[in-house]
Amino acid sequence: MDSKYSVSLYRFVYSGKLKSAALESGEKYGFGPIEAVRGGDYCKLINSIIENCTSDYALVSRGKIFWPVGIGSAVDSAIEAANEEFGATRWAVIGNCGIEFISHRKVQYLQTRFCKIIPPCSGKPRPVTALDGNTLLLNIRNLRERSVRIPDDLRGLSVPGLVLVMEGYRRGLVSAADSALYVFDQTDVDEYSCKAESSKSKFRKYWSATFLNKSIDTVYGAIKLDNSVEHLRKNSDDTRLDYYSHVASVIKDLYRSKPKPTLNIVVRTRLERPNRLRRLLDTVRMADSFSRDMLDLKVVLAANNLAPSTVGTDWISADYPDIEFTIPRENPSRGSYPRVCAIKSAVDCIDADSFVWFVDDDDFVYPESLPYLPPFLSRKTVFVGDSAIFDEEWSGEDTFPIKSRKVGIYKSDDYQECVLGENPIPFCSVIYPAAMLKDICSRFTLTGDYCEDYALFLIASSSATVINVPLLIAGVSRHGGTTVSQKDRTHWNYSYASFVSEIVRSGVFPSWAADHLRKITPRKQKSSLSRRIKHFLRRMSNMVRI
Amino acid sequence: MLGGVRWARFYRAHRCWLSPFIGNGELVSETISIFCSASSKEVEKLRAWLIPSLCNQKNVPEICLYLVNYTGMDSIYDGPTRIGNLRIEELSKGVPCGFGEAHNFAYSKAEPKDFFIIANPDVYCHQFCISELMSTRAANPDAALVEARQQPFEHPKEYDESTGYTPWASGFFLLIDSSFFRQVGGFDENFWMYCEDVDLSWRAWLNGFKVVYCPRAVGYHFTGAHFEYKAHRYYLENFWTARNFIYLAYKYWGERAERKAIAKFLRRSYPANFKQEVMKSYEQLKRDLPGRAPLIGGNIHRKLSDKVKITGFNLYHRERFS
Repeated sequence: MDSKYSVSLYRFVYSGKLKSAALESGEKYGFGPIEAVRGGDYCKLINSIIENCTSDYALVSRGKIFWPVGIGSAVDSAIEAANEEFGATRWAVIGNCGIEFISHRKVQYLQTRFCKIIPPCSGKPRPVTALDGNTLLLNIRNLRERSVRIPDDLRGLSVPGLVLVMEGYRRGLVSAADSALYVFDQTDVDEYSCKAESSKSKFRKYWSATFLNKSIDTVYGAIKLDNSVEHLRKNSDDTRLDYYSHVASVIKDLYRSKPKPTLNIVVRTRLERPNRLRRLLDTVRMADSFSRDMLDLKVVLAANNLAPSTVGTDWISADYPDIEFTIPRENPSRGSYPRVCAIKSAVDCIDADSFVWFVDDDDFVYPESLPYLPPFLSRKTVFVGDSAIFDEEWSGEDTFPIKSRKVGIYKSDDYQECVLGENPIPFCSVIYPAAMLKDICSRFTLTGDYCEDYALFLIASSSATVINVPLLIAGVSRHGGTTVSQKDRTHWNYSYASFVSEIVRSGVFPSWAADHLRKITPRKQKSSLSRRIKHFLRRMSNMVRI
Repeated sequence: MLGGVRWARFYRAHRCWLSPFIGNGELVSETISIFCSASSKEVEKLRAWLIPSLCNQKNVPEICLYLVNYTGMDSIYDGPTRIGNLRIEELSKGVPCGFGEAHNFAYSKAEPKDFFIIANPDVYCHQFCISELMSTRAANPDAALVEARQQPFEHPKEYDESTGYTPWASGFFLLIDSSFFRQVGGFDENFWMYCEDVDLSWRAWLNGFKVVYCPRAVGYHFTGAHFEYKAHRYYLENFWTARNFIYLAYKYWGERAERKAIAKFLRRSYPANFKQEVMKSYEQLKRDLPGRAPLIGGNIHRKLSDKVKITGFNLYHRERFS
């Protein structure tokens, strides 16, 4: 352990056999002295640790947990990562399994006897709204200073991970899940009984007195509560918190006090259609003015013209003086693939410490989502959000579509399907660390058009952790005849083949993954008759459209 | 002649009627009054979006933004009171007030001569939004309400593409004719919040005015229902639209419609305590109403059944794109 701080180790066990095994492991595997407690209540133990522990941090595990040899250095890296990410005085508990902030999805960095999937690396501690109590790293000083403890009348194995996190947020402390605290959990945890503990009347009473929500997400599933709705009355003086809004505001406050990450919005544009660009720039301006204290937004206008643009760019900085623009020099000599060319020239002029968000000029960004991004941005991870799809009609020089209808969502959850040869997410759903893109652009030729976004994502996601969050970050415009899918796809197919060929030759995609996918993916062979019917119908629909 | 300080005092006291006559006695364009009901919770978005977008409006005279502090407590805005063409004033009734009450109060203070606009604090209007609303109004002299188009999530409502006539207009960014507003007595304050814009629109149609949708006036409004609302809690919108759905039915179609509306609401999958709270609030409203009869009765709206209609729980329109 690092001498800068001290860490105490605790085990909560149910039998004498487990207790002696836990105590033995301290010597045998070099964990150091362990305090093993048999029986009683887990909540009480946690409270007594918070009150009496003489160390700065405490690692507590319950049940039949197997720590890795060298848990000390894993705990050190979890502490250091949390201190770096949140600040030493701003976090309460770190665990290895929880419900992620914003996505409300379970993030799990342990293996249990029921789920042995190898967990990914978290990249950095990921803020959560609830934790599983199997292993908890308590920041004793912060918990004590802010008087965070589990209310005395609450009992149960699943309660500490949930209530300690809630009480922490109530007092302005963040909790997170980190893969550094990976363990192998052999406990026979009955998820139904854990869920039942959280549904008991004492827990409900605690919840209804503190929060106004009607459901809570726990690692064992959502709990529904018939909570009072007094807060909706006229002139209500109900002071209860919306737990999830409160968590969001604690996290936003924390990131406001940190150095702002730079987010470059790279707009690939043919400058000949400035009217389309205006809508995007309006939403960027909204985003900038709303998230100025959390993100440093910059716009890079990368021309993807085949020939040099005839339209000037003076109007842009004149009409949007509050936005910082970079306009890389157009480079027609590389112009046979203008879309890739635009990406490369934009990436060239971007600082390696920043992040890159590619958006096409007829798309737009969701201003309200930007303040939620900083906790998810990391140099080691690729961020994938949701994008809404709009069917739109633009006429003439209008700076907005005359008709616009939301027809669906590109879900960030579908990103894994990229390994099946399809591109399930648009370019504007992904945010890359700039250093990663610079590395890709230097190592890969990226020859082709139309599938360049797919190629970039495939390469990046095969070596980095992908953080996918169902946060609506962009709107994608579809406007009839201009989409590639309705044109001749020959050029598209050549591009696809060229990009994928380079990826295959470079060997970035592991063979075991391909073998496994082949095994579990059902064969999609269709009868030649149904294929012919489908082809005929597609041709008919194209003819009708013409 | 009035001296500088005395003139300033005189102007402050009488600016409502003086504003069109500033200068050498010549009539200049009237200041556009915009009313926005807000509290300290909404000030962040107001500063980030509504105020800068009003500063960027093209082809418009001076704009005065009246911020109505609906909580009635403290002050909500401490920013500059003059930014270019935009003047900002804060108003407070001193007591908490609902959406309609806040706007009625602002109207009584500002007394806009010709028309005024009501705006949500979280709207960012396109640079020609107000001028487009004004042109549409000029082209439709009998329009009581001219509604801007919400982007990117357009209200799924019906409107006549050639005339722009629509059964009801949303209050997110809405131009209102002053004489109409005076004539009908402003917003019905019984609604407290939500659905008062539907009620005002229906009263416009019933009083011989038009309600016009202006697709060329664009306001970016990333509404809660599409973005912010989560399934973990109930929002004011859930509660008040449910309560006011029943009130609208009663107000326009009487007790039979009220019974049907209550039955429709009770069939919804809300939990028992939510339903109980809504019914309690509605019963309180009924006790406070003057008389037991519906406020608008008779057969007058039969002629307008394509405009004044309820097509289901809180559906005052058909899906435009269905």
